Amino acid sequence: MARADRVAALGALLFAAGEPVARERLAALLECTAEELEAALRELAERAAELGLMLLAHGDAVQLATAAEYGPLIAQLLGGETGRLSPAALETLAIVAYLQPVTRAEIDTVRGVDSSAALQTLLAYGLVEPRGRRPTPGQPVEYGTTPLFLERFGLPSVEALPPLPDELATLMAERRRESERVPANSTRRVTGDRAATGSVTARP
Amino acid sequence: MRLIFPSTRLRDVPVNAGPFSGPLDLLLHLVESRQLPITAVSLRAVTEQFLAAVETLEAHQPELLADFLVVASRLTVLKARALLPHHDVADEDAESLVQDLERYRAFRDAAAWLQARAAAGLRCWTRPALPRAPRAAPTGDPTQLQRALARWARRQRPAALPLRWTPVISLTAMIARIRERLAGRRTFRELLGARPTRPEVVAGLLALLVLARRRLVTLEQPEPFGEIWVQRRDEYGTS
Repeated sequence: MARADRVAALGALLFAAGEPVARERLAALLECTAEELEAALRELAERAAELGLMLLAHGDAVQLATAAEYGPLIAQLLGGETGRLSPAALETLAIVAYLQPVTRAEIDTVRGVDSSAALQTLLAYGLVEPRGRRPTPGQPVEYGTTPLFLERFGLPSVEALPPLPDELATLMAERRRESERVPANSTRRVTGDRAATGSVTARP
Repeated sequence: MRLIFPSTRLRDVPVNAGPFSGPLDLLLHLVESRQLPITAVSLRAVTEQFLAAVETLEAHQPELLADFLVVASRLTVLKARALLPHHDVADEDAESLVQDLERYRAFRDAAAWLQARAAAGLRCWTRPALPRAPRAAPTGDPTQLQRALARWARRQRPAALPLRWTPVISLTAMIARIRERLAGRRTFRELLGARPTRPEVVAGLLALLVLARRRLVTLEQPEPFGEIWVQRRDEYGTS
C-alpha cells in the first residue's frame, strides 16, 4: 500500500470505528510496521486539521475527533451539556491526569482532604476509571483518566496538559521511579528463580 | 479547640472555610490574598486567620474538620517553633508544609486551566461507536421473498397428522390377564410378560392392588424396588 493510501485508509478506519482503536490493531489492518503507522498518524493529524478534526491518543489507542476549537460551534448544533464540576472534583481530576496511575490515598495527600466524594463524581461522569491495583500492601486501586476526559477537555493526549513547575516535575519523576522499583525488583526475583531452576535441570 | 487557640480576637478579615475545597485551598487563599510567597514566614503570618476559619467550620461542615485540624496543628507547630528561642534547628515541618502547599498550588492551577477550557467550550466530539452486531443488510432477489411467502403459506395449512392409535389395556382386562396367568407364586415381572409397555406396567400394578384388596392375592416385596412376588390365595382366604 502506498504511503498516501495508507494515510487515507487510516482516516477511514478511525472514522468508521468512532471509538479509540489500538495502534497494534491499526498496524495489523494496514499491514505496516509501528514506525510506518506513526508516520501515517502524524500525516493524518495534519490532514485532519484541515477538516476540523484531530487525533486523540489515549495510551496505546487512537481516536478521531472534532478539533477542540470548534467545540463552541458544535455545542450550538448539538446542544452543550451543562454538567459542571465542583472545584474539589476538578482538583481531583487534575491530580489523576498528571499522576496517573494514582491511588485515592495519594490524591488525599496532595489535596490535604478526603477526596472520595470527588472521585465518585468523576467515576460517575466517566472521566476517571480504575486501572487495576498497585502491588503494594493493601493493594489499593489505581485510577487514570478515560478517553472521555481527553474528549471533554479537547486534549490530543494527556501529555498536552500544561507542564508542572520544574521542581514538582522532578519530584513526580522521583516518585514514579520509586513506584517502578517494586515491579523491577519482582522481575529480578523471577529471573533469579528461573536461573535457579535452570541450574537444577543442568545438574543431571 | 477554642480553649487551645483563643484566636477569635485576632481575626482581622473574617474568612469562612466553607467555600474552600480543602484546608490547603484555604491556606493558599490566605497566603495569596496577602500577596505573600509561600514560605514558612508567610504561613506563620496567616496561622491565626486559618484557625479562625476552622472554627466556623465546626458548626457547618464537621465532616471536614479532621482534615482542616491536621493542617491547623502543623501550622501551630510552626508558630510555636518560631516563638521558642532555639528555633534555628532545621525546620523540617515548615519545609514539608511549604512543599505540600506548593504541590497543591500546582494542581489547583491545573484544575483552573481545565476549568477555563471547559468554560471556553474547548472540547471534542467523537462519533458514537456503532453497535457491533448489525452486519451489512442481507442481499437477495424477489423470488426468494416469493418462496419464503410460499413456505409461510404452507405452514399455515398443516398437513393432517396421521392418527396413531395405541390401544391401552383396561384395568379390568389386566386383572383378568393376571388372574389367568397366575398359578402359585409368580413375580410381577413374569406376570407382565416380555417387553411390557409403560401403560401395561401401570395397569398391572393397579390390577395387583385391586386383587390384593379383594383378598385374591398376597403381595410380597422383600426389599425396596426389588421383585414383587404375587401368591394366589384360595377361595377360603388362606394362602
